[in-house]
Amino acid sequence: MDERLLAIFQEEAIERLDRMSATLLAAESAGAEGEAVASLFRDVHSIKGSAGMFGFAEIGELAAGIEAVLEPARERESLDGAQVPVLLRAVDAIRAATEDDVDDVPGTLAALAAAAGPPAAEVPVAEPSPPPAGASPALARTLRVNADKVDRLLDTVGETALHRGRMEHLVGHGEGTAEELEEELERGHVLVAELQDAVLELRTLPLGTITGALGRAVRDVAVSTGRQVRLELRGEDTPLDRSILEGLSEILVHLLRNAVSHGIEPPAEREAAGKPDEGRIVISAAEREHRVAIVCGDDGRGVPAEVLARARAAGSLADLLAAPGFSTAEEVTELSGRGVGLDAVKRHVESLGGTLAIESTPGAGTEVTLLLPVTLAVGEVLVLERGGVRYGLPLTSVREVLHRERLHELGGRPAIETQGELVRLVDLADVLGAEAAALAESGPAVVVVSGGRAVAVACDALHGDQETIVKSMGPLLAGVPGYLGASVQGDGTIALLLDPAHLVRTGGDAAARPRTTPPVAPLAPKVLVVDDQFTVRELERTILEAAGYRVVTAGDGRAALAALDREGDVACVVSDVQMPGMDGLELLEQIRTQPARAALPVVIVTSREDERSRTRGADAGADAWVVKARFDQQALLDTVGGLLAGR
Amino acid sequence: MSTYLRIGLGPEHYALDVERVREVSEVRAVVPVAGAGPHVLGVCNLRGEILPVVRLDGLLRVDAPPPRRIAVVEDGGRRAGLAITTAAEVEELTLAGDRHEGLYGPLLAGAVLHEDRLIGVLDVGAVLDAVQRRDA
Repeated sequence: MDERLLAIFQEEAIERLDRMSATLLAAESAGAEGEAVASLFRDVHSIKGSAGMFGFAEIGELAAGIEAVLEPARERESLDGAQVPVLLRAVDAIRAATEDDVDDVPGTLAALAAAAGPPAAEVPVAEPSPPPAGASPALARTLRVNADKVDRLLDTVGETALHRGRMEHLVGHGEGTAEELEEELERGHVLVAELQDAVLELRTLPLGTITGALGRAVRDVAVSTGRQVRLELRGEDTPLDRSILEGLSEILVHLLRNAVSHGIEPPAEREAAGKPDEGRIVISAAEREHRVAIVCGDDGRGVPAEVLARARAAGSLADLLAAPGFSTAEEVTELSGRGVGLDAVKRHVESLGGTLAIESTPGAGTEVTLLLPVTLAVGEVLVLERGGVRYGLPLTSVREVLHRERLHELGGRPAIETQGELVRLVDLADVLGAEAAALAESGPAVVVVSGGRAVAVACDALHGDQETIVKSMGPLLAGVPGYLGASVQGDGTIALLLDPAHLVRTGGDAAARPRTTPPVAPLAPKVLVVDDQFTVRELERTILEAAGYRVVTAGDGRAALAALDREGDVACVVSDVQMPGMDGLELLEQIRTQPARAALPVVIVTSREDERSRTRGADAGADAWVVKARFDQQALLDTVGGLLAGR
Repeated sequence: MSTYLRIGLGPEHYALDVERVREVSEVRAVVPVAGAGPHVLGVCNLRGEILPVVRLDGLLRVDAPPPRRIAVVEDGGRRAGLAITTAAEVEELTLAGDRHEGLYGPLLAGAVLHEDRLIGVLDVGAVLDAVQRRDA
């Protein structure tokens, strides 16, 4: 089991145990009611669920024992103070067990069994009371953040308050000289930059967060292909924005699969070539000029020399290998034929504003490099104008700005000469299909580069470069091709942020079919994983991603519905039952009320062996049921695979 | 009985479930987004948020003058501004009684005769679906 997930499990469990201790201590004298009891139950239930998945038998048994004591209390919405001591003891026992101390477990289990007493048949059941009126149904999106990062932010906020005071003094009392004012303004400038950095840092996580499942993915592929492979990870501390990390594990799994099945030779072949039997794959990450380079290298057979020759003609090895349908193996193996292709990897990397490069030496190995922005949220853009609309282009994709001259034309396709090279020239309005008057005789053109290809984009005017916050245009417009988002300018006007990869792709065939976009190659099915616990979510994600699925996650039913609307192409939902806000069964009912999703496969995952939930789930149209206590990844994969195959 | 917000679109009246309406604002500078389909006027800046603006006239096949107000609606995670005509006809009202469901096409949850005027009750989710599908 992956140590990072274990650490997160511990962290989550301790948070829940702390909350339980506090609630129990408060209940010791006067007992507890309604929400307090429900909260205790939720916490212990969550601990039981994830303990089961991680195989912590003692913790699972203790949690089940606490549940048995709490169950009747929850039914009548009141906990007797006399039961508190044994519950506290059990909470402490779980805490000790998370640190491998299980000495008190048998004694505690016996005490819990005694406290639970005979089954709850004779306990009078009170009428359930309606939920409190003020309860807010929508849960805020939460972020687990290192406390040091928050301290740093707070320091900067304090500095900013002082700065404001000094400005007030200088301006309000008219006492500042121009020089002092200028100095203070400069300090303000620096502070704003620091604040921005500190807040962005809150969004970053180390790469190691997602590399946990990679070892297993490599092992699985190695076993099924008869290879011996060792995976090394370097630079796992390298920080990346959450939004970039999200899709990255899927990409790394794919690159690793390729490396094992196409790169590393069978042991006999390696021996004949004078290499050690065991192949080596290294994934290393490092910051490189404000970007992060992630390199996946293997010491396998490399790409054949004739492919390298074809690559020189195609532009680059990445372009050739990522061309739809390309494969270097004589036969596409079962493993690498599944899931996303290298073309999808390339598209994904480019959609993040990154680039993909591949180098290979025949007989010695292949190295794939992903160059990614550290964060998506802030970037420098070049602002340009066409047809009265302002557009932003990520500065990282701008090679140069030209004046439209030295034009050449062949077959109605104009090209511009720059640095001794001819680059296609396209009208930005043509690429986007925007309404605009014809371009003036002369004006600027911006040379945009993406994935090793360049295109010159003609526009009406340039408005310089500026640092900008990238905002989403929302789920309604998320499917519109060509845009990374939008940003609000200093004067309140909006600049639409252009996707350089789209410009280069579409610009390439602009003359042939100027206003169409190329068809999208089929992608692996997308699965939506819904669970309020980060650990469970990530565990299910790694299992599904390692099997080649694309995965999106949500923390509760409401977020899941939003994700379904946002993603549009979710092929299967895997949901927990018990979640705050909207639970899994409500989610299921909501999904089934939408005619378009009446047949969407929904798998319910729960630790609950409860007949009532099962019946309700079946009534609401659950397609399958996976019990967490017996959770094994093959069962989940078989269930999801079966449902998707049946569609 | 539910509470609706009545909006005017050219000569016609429609109603939006108030639960779906976040606010009504003056129409502001709208930046066209090429490729977003025939029913998207563009995006506008609503206090720093990028808000898609939907033209209802084409969807509902109504002849309407240029919009003057924007009704900001929400459906699940989706949010959009519906471009509408007049300020004077924006009022809260309670509709009761018989709806003529299904009579007026997929974008309406029903229609109600109120003070001798036919009012279409908009299905916000269906409207946004149609926008997202980029239906012609």
